[in-house]
Amino acid sequence: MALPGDAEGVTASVAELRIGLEASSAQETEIALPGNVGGVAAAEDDDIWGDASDSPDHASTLDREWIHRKNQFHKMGYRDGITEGQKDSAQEGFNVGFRQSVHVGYKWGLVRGVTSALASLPDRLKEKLLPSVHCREKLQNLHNSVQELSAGDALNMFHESINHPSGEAHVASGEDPNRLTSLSKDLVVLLHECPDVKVNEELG
Amino acid sequence: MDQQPELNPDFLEPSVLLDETHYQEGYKNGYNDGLASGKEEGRQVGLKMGFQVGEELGFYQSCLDVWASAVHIDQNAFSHRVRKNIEQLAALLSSYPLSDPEDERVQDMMGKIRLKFRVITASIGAKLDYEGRPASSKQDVEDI
Repeated sequence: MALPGDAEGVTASVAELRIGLEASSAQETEIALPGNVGGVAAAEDDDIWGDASDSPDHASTLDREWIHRKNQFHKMGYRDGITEGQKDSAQEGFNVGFRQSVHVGYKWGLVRGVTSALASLPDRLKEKLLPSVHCREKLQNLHNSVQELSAGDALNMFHESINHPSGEAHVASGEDPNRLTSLSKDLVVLLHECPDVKVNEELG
Repeated sequence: MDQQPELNPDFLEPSVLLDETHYQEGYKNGYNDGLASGKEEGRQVGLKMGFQVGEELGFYQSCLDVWASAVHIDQNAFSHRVRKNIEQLAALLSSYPLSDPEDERVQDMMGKIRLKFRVITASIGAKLDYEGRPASSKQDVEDI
């Protein structure tokens, strides 16, 4: 940041310097003008030496100074504006994103919670809730699969699924973003076989 | 000397006004760009936070559902005190405003829910913990 700023400063002072010089040369022309009455040669002299203030060079220096100043204020305004704009819209954006993801996360949390809570029950209770050995085994497998995914993994998969809804990106990341959905479907199917386990309807 | 203060603004006014116009022009452009980028940045943070908060609450909710199912088939599955705590956790979870991240009570409620959950798991001796919570989600809540 420091370097471009310095360069701008230098350009600005060079421009000021030139304006100073040209202002003084313009004064000289004015003073020389009365002498003009004398002869054509003097007038020609003026054309050659004294007209610096009308030359394209002078105009472009003024233009540059002008544009520079304009840009400087525009840039200052832009910086202040962008900060203010971001401040005014961040909360709104946050709410939009939050509402978009909270129920997806909730559903995944249900999957994680059911499998974890069932796995943690004492055997006596587990057998009462899940009388079928087959069901208990399947649930244990599902629990293991779910445990393999950290909360961070789940978040990344969710993020993938939002940014690439078609699922084409999972080749690159090596993770299937639809895994969350497929695991929760597996659980729903399994719970149909275990009517005593009643979970939140948002899972289905 | 008396005239100086009057003269100066007159002399400066046109260029100051122009500078002000350019500033305002830049401000307007910046503000509009800021609205767009701020909203998108906020959305990304919201997506992350929403998923995390949702996951944690869903986790507690379904643990609760499993315990309730256990109590349903076996009245004596848990002690009276634990059942009381389960009911209290259920009340806390059902009153959590899931879709209103701006609700000022959420942080306080989340704290109570976590505490109640720990009390229950400790009393039934279940090795259960929501593992997504450490560091990241807590830090983010404080950041916002």
